[in-house]
Amino acid sequence: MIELPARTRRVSGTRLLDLCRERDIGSLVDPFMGLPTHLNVLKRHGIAVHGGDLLEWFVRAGEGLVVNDFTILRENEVAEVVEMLPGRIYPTDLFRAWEGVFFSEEQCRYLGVWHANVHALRSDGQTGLAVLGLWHVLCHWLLKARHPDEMVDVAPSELAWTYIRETERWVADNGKRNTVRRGDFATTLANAKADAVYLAPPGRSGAKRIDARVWMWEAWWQGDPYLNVERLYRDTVFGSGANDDASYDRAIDDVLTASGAARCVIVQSNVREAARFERLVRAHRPNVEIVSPNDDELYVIGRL
Amino acid sequence: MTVPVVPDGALGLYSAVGDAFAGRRLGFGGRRAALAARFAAHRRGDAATVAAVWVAGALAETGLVDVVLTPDASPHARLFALADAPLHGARIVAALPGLPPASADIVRWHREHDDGTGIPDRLRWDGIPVEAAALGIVHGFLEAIEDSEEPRGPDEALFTIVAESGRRYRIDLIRTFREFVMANADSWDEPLDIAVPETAEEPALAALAARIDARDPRNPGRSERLAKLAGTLAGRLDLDPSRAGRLARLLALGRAADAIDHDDFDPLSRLARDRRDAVARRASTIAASVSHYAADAPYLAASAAWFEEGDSNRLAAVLGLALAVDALPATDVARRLGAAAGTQFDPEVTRVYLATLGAPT
Repeated sequence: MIELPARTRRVSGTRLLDLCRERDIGSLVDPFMGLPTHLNVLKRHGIAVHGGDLLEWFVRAGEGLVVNDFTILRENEVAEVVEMLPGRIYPTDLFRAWEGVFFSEEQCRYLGVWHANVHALRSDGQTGLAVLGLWHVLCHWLLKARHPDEMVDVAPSELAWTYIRETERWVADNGKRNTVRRGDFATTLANAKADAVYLAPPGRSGAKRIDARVWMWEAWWQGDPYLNVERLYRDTVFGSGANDDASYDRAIDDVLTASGAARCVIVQSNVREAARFERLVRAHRPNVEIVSPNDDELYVIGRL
Repeated sequence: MTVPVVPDGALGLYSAVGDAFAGRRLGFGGRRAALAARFAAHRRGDAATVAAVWVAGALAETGLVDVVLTPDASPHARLFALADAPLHGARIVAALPGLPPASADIVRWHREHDDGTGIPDRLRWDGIPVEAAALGIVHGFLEAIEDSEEPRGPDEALFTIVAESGRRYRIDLIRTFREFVMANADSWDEPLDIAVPETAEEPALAALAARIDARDPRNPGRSERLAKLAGTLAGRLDLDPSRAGRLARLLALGRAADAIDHDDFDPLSRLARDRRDAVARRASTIAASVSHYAADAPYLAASAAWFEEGDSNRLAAVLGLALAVDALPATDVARRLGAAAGTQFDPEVTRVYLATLGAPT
């Protein structure tokens, strides 16, 4: 049974919205966006948003929730994602390596079917919505494996249907160009100009401590149950060389340097790390402000 | 200074307004506050945490006051507007001075779901603060119990929320909540003795009335205009000006509903009277549900009455006249009020008002 660690970082779109509104920020870029629900919230409230990440499924989810303004999945299209289509040959053993370890045989079969069906979708928007909706199913299954008697049994296709429909409700249009891209922070920041850069930088050894539910879904999207996501981070500034304090500071410094064109930089941290990030931001921005709504959330905001 | 364990004063009014906009029984917010605070205490929360949870429980749905939907709003527009209600609520709580700072964020995230499908942020797992997640469970439990279409007993309500374990609600919290309710079968929603700083009444009431006014773009700042006029008139009639101002602001409660027909057309017409009657009754009902304002309720209800019906109350008559003055075109006020004095309006109140205009009385 897989460990589901309790250390999810709280990235709140509405908190960012408050910070943006108070500072007259109309566009924002997040080069470490992760699951871009916060960008979707900002988009829904009229802010132009741009995101980037190294994991492809995050970018796909962003294409559904951030870039996509109107495309949803019609009932028949959801059905074509969640169920095996007659006459089609599926790679049902694609995720057999996970069978008995993380998932049941039926679940692994569905993962293979969904992998094929989602890759056959015609638009990036639909693909993103399906990827995100189905990710909720994966999370549900992993949680249920840990608490089999405390969660209700729901048929895989019904669960998938519910979550895809739930996800597509949040497609919104803000009348602006919103983008996501797969790439490191330098690529994202070089290509997306905005009033503000929001940084929730990866922690030290972030790639090693990545949540199983996140790397497994990248493995699912890539169709490779043995995928090791650490390699994606290895050559970045937050790779294996950034485990000590000095290297980590240098990595943050690199990101702040790349953020130089933005009027404002918002770094999310916590009370424990406040002094470090304040020092780092102050080296790049003359005006630094700390907003700390609670102990878990602290924002170091630097302005030119 | 502390408020009693049932939301009272301005806090009680905010709670009742949340209930009204959510279409719930008035008092639902108070019950939610008590249960949430008891549950927090059961989980060994310190006094500050329990107080913060209590306030959040009382004001959890107050944000609906800032959600404005037209009757023809699409389901999509409705979803997006309602998704912001917890955010509005958090802003309202944060703006009320003296309340526990943690309350605002508990309100902000109490509708998040453990699986990341909630509102407003779609936070997930332990990214949702535990007190907010716990309030979400309490809300769901009471919602099931007080479901107007299918009321349930505590056992059935528990069954309803346990079915959402791991999806809407965090598994370990559901487990603890079930234990808590079963161990306190007769007392799970009894009030707790909690010290919560009292909020300054007048600015809080003015802010609430302004928020309700802001829902109708045809009439911004209406309550403050009414309060000013009612206060002036009351002073000239040897009545309590501050009470008249307070009553004028409380009249806004009558428009604390998802959709209210406007009542600002010709105030002397029969249709206007019926609508104003309904609004006054609603304001009176909401005020009566908060003990601090219960004495104001009869004045609010009487503000729509006509003088010729008898049982005239001078303070209520001041309110009635102020409403008419605010709704009439300035060029018509003297002529039409003069004509309606003695029938619709108290002649003495009308005379005093017309005297302030320099009109013949």
